[in-house]
Amino acid sequence: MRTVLLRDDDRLLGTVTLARISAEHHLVHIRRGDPLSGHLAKAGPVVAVLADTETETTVRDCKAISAAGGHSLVVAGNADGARLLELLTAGATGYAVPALDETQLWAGLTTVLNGHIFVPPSMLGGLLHQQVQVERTPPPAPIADERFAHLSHREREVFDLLALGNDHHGIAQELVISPQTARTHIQNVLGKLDVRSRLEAVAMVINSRQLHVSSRGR
Amino acid sequence: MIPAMKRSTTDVPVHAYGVRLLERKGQHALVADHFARPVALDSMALALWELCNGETTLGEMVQACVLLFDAPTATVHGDIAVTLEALTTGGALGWRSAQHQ
Repeated sequence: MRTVLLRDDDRLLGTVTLARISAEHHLVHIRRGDPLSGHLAKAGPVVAVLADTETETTVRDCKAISAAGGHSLVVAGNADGARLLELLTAGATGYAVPALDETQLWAGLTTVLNGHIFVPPSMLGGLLHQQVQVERTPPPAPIADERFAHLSHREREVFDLLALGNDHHGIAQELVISPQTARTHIQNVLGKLDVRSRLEAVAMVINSRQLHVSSRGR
Repeated sequence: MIPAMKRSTTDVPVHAYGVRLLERKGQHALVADHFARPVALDSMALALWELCNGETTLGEMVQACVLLFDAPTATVHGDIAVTLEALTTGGALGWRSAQHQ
């Protein structure tokens, strides 16, 4: 018997599947907006079944569950190949869509319970195709400015999120750290780059990449 | 086309001429005039078949599966090679070298 956390306010899961989970596992209902962290701390490695109704929340929860050694099955309202890849990359173990019948859904949940990846058979080809495309995409041009070499791996992650327009709350959510820790990382990044603001740091990167590209083109 | 032999990771599998994919009640099969009978595909074989578009190399297929399913490269390579060779032997796939594209 395992602890299965379920967040499905919109009732995407069928009653038969719910009854089976209840019969075979310790089912804990979580309401929308209820943070997972308390449950993860209490129950240890869990399996979570999450309805994909809040995009950012689902990604963050999949990361947190994976980091805690658990597994997650995301139940989507429709089949979205790009979303499937995003969730698997974030640490989700499985992805279910309404087209699956109760038997297939149960098979998917069982697969996830055993720690294996579950993808709806009809989406497997598209998923592989997308992964191939991702692998073909060249990495961004390296940043020429040597000041970036002084950033730690975590600080580079923080900087990349800053460059995407995140504030310290967004970075905290994305990296599953406290806002205060995110704020400290930001200050460290700005200090090491010797700039006064986030905007100045991002402008520095853009200039640096343009220099790199133009020097390669000579 | 490359004759049947050990494939290179840069080789590209491509649908053989005249082969069509049929779907019935969620089950998929390949048919062609030169087949004695339809070739049934399971979900993984179907996914690989869909990747045999003449652009994706064997190495790219292996790499995509390794990354997505966090499985050992040798195992994935072996499984994919077996599936693609079965389709090749059955006349559903041909191969070309990426270097000659």
